Amino acid sequence: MISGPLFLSVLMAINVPASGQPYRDLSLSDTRFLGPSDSDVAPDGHETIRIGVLGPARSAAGDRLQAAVEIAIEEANRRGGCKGRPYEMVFRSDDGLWGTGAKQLAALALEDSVSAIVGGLNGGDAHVAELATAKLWVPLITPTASDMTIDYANVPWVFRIFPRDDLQARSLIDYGGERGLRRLLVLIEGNREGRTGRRRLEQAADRAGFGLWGIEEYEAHEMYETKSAAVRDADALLIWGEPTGALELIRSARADSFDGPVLLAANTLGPELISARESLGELIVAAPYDLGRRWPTELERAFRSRTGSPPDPVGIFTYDATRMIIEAIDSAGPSRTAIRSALAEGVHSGLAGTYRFDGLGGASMAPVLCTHRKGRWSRIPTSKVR
Amino acid sequence: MISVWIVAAALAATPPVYHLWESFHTTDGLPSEKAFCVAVDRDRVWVGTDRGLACREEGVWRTYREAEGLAHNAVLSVAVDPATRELWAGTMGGLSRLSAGRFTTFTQFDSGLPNDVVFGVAIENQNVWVATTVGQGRYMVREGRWQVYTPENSPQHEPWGYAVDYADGKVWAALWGGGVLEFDPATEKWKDHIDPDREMEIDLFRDDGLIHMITTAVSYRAGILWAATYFGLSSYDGYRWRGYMDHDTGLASNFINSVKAKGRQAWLCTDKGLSVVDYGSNRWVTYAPRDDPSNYMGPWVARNYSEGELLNTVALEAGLANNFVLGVDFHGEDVWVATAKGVSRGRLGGAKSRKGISP
Repeated sequence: MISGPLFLSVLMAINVPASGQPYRDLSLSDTRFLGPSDSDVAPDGHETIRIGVLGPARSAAGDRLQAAVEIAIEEANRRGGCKGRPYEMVFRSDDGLWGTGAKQLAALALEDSVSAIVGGLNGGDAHVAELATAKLWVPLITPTASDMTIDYANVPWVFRIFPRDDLQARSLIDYGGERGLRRLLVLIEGNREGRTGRRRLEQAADRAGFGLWGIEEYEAHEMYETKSAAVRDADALLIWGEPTGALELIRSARADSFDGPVLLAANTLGPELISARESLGELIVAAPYDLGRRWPTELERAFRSRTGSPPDPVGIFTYDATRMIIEAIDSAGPSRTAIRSALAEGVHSGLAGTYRFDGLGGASMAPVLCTHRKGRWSRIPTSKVR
Repeated sequence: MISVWIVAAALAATPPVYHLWESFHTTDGLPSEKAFCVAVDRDRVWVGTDRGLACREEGVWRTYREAEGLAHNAVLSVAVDPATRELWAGTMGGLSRLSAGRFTTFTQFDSGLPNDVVFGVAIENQNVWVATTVGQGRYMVREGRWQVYTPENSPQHEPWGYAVDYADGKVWAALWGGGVLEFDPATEKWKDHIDPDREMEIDLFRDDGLIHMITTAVSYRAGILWAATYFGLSSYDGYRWRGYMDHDTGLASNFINSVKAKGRQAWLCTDKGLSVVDYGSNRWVTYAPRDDPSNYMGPWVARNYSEGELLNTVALEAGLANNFVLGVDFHGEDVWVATAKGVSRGRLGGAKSRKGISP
């Protein structure tokens, strides 16, 4: 009698390809949209070409999302819009329980007749939007979701431009290994994003043969004292969570005399942390771009006037996403199918870098390790990071 | 005698070629060219489109929209209660029931419907199941009561339901990121089926389990589970998993929008045409444009495969309405197909003229 696990092992052994390679490398999939190109009537009936925005209405990130779209649209309209037809932003909120975004995306596509959508700020929200997008066939660029599984849903209408979470995890774990940070305490926010980050970190650690010393979940605004003992015993911290909670943790740990390096995922970067002038000790972040760089003065001014803060990753990537959509419409017209093709096939120059989408709709942006010392961010030279 | 039996068994295991195809469009009375789903109820054919629900009866199409009481014009899924002939429509704005000519609508605000975007709907005895973005819902019609299943009370790795099916005493749900869930109404117990390699980027072994965690559709008949993904197809007969991809089978494309089983055969709705496979023989028939897979104007062919080997190609006088196939259902020997550009009916034989065809 063969036991279940043994039977499975035998069965799997039989199926091992002779090459030793997996049966199928799904990253090589090249999904084109093969539906009728004339199925979508170019959204019309409006004097404007509408770009949908899907995001939180009641958060600072939502404000920055809308501000960035507005700035990009205003720039395009100053240039005359699309052959004289102005662009217009239509915003719908995905606040509320999970799943709200699907209904709001449907409203953007079916009622508001948008040509394309920017939105889904994190992996969960992007997936919810993706479910509806797969049915409704409207191009969607998620500006800041890093969840690699967005690509592996394989929906030809969804594009991801933020550095993937697995690449962030690898760069942080590799850095920790290089530094010999043996007592690395991972602090993840207790939500889907945090738990996804945890999986990526564990996978990266396995890959690097690096043992994670400890992993703890935290909630934003949770009393720091519950983590204090673990933090004091650690050589270094690695935080994966939203900006507000992450900054609170950093400040609390420093106030608690923790003086080791703090490693950060890109989603911890909010305007307050980016522009922090206070001494926060040694911070190392898997940033989506070189945090020491400066942005065009006009953009910086426009962003500050709308949000009261400098551009952050939400602002920069949303601005790039909107410009990509506008350029696609300028070149291909407002038909959703044509926009999708222009996005999928083009090379797009943005503030954060040059975007090229692979067959699964993901842009090949790598994280950039940056450090914060004496109130300034700078890129860690490649020579110091193997 | 034995040889006759063997020949008969082989023929039975080979999906027949549907030579006769006719298609229906807005010019015939459909509310939209884009048909998400189709369900046959005896002499009626129901089609969910992005601009209304259509019903064909006695050769005439009739449309139901929000003005008639439908929850939302975008109808993603339909199911008919075989006992009552009530129609249940999953829309992008709630769940609608059509009974005695009147619609009743359930939304997340006035009922226990988990979410207003209802991707899938299925009938289980006197209960109606829905697949939504926040989990699976079970409406117990007699009691007027809802049960909602989320990661809190069932083994869902993600809550995003995309399709649901019921057959032979089991409910099956396809989850976006959560594989396939199995529910036994007798014991009220759940069981999950996930991709054993747990890797999104690869399929490590062909026959070890689900090809991918993001499943788009599920169908269960004759003891065989079929699970569709955008990377290929999986089947499970209770003992053995099998994987199917387009490079080593007759599958039209790995991008599978929907699956529906009939007996031991599964019909696959893909972006490059319609495929049907027999579980026992692994013989395939694929209906697709002959040359460019997206040139739905044709000419169309039916290709016969054994495993992955092309046996022959049959030219078709007419093909499906479009290569991008979204749904399928059966009316006796006939097959009804929802596509991105109209609805098609395939027949094994009969008159070639469209006139006088019913339903």
